[in-house]
Amino acid sequence: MSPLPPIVECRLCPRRCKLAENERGDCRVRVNLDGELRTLVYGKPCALHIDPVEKKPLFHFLPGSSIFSIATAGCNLHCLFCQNWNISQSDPEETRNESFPPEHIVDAALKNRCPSIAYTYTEPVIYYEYTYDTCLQAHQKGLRNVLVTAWYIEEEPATEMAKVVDAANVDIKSFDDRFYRELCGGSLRPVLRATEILSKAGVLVEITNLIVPTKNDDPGVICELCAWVHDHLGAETPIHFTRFHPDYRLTGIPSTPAKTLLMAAETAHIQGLHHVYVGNLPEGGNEDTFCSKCGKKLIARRGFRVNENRLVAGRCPDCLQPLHGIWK
Amino acid sequence: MSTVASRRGFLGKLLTAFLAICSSGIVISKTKENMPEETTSHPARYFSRGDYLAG
Repeated sequence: MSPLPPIVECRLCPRRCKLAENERGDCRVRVNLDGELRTLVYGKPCALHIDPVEKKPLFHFLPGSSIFSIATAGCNLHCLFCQNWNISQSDPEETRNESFPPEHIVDAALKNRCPSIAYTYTEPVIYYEYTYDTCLQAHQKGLRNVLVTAWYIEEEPATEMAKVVDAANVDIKSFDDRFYRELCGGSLRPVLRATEILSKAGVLVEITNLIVPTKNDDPGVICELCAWVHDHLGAETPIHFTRFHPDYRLTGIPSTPAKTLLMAAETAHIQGLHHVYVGNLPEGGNEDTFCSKCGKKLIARRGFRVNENRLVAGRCPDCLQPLHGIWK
Repeated sequence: MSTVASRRGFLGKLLTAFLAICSSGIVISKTKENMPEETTSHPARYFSRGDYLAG
């Protein structure tokens, strides 16, 4: 009698899915085949697009540039308010996928004059091998790499990925572990640990916090988040508070009021963060970058457009203070 | 009346879906396709084998 194929434990993310033969992980894209863990989405993006880098959002990274953006199906979180749920909560067989190996992604980025590639829309953690190999090839061709991620990942793969990534927007969904468990199917602590790994490795980290009314808009929790960013990532770390709009399974909650977002921004300033942004507000006005020393406006934005950039070699032209970020 | 109303509802949903896709920046949209025989795989990293209980 032949022995049963072994159970495989995926050690990519904190879920640590234990998979029997032919079973897929919670992310839908990693599978046990003959006792080997395999990925079903390598080189098979379901989304390819050229975006302004401000859309990620990244405000301290090559402002005004275009970024070649890719995603595959699947995600290891299941946020009830996901805005890309039609691909993030799908099997790879349910999306229309292109065949785009890493070298083709790099060629396409170069051809379209994009200085960087974003691994985005769904969750680059779950298409880890595809992201990693594309990052390596992108660096060889002088391109930069950006993660847009919830960064729910184990320490070892996070450390390895940090070596090939230049910038990341990490979506910290709340500083309340209960929010993670009940609305996202994850947990907070691994996200914080992995985000520190990125920061310590020298990756430019920007934080996004999407505020859902009644769910994660408690001023005390927002204050805790800002204090953590200040103490563990630094006062220069940009933070974006973005507006929820009803989507997926959270359609009964209205969009975030402007006053809530402005309260969060004020809290961040009080906690000592220098670069605080409010996104998705129709009236705009909270998307400009100021010098953290003299307070003068350095970059003026409206939506995803940069209207003015006064930086000179990454410094304030008035007081010569360097601005935290990647500028050329 | 009901036909007009339902048509408006349908068009509204269509417009909403179109705007959602545009605003998300996704150019290749999801289509339902069952093609397991075409599914190929690639070796993944970060796993171990053992006598675990599946689930």
